[in-house]
Amino acid sequence: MEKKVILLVEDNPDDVDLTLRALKKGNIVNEVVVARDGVEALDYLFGTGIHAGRDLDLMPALVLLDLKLPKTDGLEVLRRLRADTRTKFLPVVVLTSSKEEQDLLNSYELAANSYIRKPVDFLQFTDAVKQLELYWLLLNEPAPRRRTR
Amino acid sequence: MTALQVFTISLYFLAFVLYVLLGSYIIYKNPAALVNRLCALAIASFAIWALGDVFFRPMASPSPSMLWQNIASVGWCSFPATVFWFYLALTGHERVARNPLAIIAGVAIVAFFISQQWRGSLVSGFAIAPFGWVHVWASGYIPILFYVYYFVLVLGCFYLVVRYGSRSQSLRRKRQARLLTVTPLVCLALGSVTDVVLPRLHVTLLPSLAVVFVLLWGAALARAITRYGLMSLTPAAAAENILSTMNDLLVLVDTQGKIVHANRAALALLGYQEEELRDKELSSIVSWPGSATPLSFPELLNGGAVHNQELTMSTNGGAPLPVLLSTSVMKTEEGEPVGVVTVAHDIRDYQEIQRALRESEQKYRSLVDHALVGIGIHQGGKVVFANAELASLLGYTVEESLGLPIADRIHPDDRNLVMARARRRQAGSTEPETYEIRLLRKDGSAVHALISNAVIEYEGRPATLMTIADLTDSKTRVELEQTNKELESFSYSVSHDLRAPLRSIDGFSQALVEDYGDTLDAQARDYLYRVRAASQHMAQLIDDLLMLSRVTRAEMWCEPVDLTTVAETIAADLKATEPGRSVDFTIAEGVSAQGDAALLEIVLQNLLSNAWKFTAKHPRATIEFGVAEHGARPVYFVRDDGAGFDMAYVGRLFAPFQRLHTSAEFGGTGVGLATVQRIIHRHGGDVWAEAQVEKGATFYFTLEP
Repeated sequence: MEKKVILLVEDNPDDVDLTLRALKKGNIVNEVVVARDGVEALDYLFGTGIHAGRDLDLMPALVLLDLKLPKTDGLEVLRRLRADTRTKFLPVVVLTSSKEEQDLLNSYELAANSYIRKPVDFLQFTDAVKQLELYWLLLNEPAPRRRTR
Repeated sequence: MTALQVFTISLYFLAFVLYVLLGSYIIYKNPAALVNRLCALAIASFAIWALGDVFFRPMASPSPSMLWQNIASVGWCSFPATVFWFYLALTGHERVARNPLAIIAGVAIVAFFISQQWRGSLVSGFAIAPFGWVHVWASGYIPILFYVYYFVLVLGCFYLVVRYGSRSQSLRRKRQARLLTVTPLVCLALGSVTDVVLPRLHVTLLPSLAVVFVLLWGAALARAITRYGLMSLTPAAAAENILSTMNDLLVLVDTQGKIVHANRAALALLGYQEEELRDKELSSIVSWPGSATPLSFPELLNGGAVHNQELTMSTNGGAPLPVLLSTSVMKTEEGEPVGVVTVAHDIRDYQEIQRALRESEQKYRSLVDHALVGIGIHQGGKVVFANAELASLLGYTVEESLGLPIADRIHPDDRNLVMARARRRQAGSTEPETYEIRLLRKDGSAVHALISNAVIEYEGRPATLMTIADLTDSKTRVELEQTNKELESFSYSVSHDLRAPLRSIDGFSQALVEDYGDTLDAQARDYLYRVRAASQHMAQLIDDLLMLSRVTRAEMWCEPVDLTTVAETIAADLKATEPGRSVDFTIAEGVSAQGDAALLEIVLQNLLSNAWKFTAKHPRATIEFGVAEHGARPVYFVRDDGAGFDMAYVGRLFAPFQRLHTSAEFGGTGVGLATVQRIIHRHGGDVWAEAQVEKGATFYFTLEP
């Protein structure tokens, strides 16, 4: 069985630690790849830049995407990712601080699969992450992988 | 002379005087009318008869008496004919009454009998009686002939008046006819006895009193005139009266173009005496402007009639008198012109009004044309007037803008509200007169504008006058938009950046408790717990503040909102959060409102959550949502029987961050009611509260002023 990787796109180190902690608390043992900005996330997904030469058959089972990111922001990442056949059907959960209407609209417009607002209460956050894992990694059937090569 | 003789004579004299008075009165009533003249003629017959009687009775010898009897005979021979003649005219047989042959025949008969009397063939002598001489009828056929003549014509009068009365529909005429039938019948009966029957039988019991008895008929005539207006008005008389008293100038001109008659108004307005004007040329008082030679009189006479033409007449002093003049040619039955009737209407007042109206119209037209705001009128949902500014504001020409459905030119978001206001305004309700509105241009783009409305009457029907100022480029608008944009980006960063540190504070405090719990004592754990509580409270504050700012900025979509369903959903959610509580929700059925659904939901969410929160300390509670009519406006309310508050602090209730309870009693940020108030104000409504400590609170709100 293939190992399911989670791609966490998050620039705030505190949030990275807290998210990882919440994943651990939720007994999620999947490998978590952290991208600290949008460029790094796209490099990982398309095997470019610092991730040049990465085996692109191994795509993350879930992308946790923050919206406010340095360099390329989350919405741009989402747009590029949806435009590419290799990543078109990747489950992307927007995990961010705001629930501004425009953020929600833009995300769904770009076919985000889900939108979670990070709760301030860490216990609630943990709970949310656990449910995310349960749903996207265990219950959800991903789109069949396209063999392009 | 004996006293009886004096009495008899006085009787005749009195009759004479009364006949003269009655005749004068009838002529005075309407001297021009044929019927009045004939009536006076008939009365004159009786007057002569009475006068003759005054003199013939007391004479010492028969011969002067015979002279007076002969004079009296002018009256008693002519009266059947004159009375009949009068009755003909009275009963509508004017044509017969005017027929020359009939008149000649009548005069011949009367002359025949008078001449017979003078020859002694009617009354031939006298007998003495206590009251004076009594006439003695001659023998032979002449008196018989006279009786026949007398009876036939008197009966003819009856026939005419009875027929006239029975044919007439008017009750007034029927009464007149009855009066003029009954009284002569009495006169005929009594007079025949005293003047014919008794003298014929040579009984000198009574003098001949027929002429006195006829006074009864005279009295009936007087009554018919005063009571029923007999003979006082005929169409001819009325026409003459109207012509002489009407306000328009009337000038009659003969075929030579010379004035033969001018009515009172013409004399007064032109400043002439009647004789000054007579025989003057019509062209000397009327000038035809624009042509050196006026319409020549022969032309007028031969069909070149003028109809309601604005002309100038010249007065005696030479001053111009503007008139509206019409002429018509009068012709004989054979078509021969006999003259021209000229009627002119003084139009000085009319011209003055026209001038004032023109000036006023010009003034307002230039005001409207040069106004820097759009001005228009809509009626029955359509634009019926627009100035150039309004048309260009909407992207049309003035011509194109007429007839446009006004609703189509209002932004869909504002349409329902604005149209509902317009309808209510027309129905007489007081609506906000000035408010901001988004209009749609011809190309579909929106224009922010300030509109002011007033109900007016336009072409006889109610309409709305609107004044519209384009706000697109207005300085305040630009500034407002700038501020809004800044506020938006500010909110956006707050939303993202202010929460992140709070998450770290909360998250790592929790991590500390979890990972180092055993090395921390109870107090340290309590401190960490408080750090987490504070950060969560601050997160709530940020959320509430963002909400407050969002409801201020949010675009409003007005639509019908089913408030009952919204309230029921919120109530169910609240119950689900604390299933253990015993709270009755009483939510009125079918409550709906016009407004922004999302914003109204926030209002109910806040009010119902508050009610839920402030009833938490009571074992049982009731929360009510409903609507009450207050005047014509619905007033919505949310009522609870919870903690309530002291009305002394009601002023602080809706200010942000103001709380009437401690956080230990009831949690909260103090922003909820400020949000409610802002939403209600954005809907143009009002919100207020009534409460009593521990008895509960009621929050009322309206959605439009």
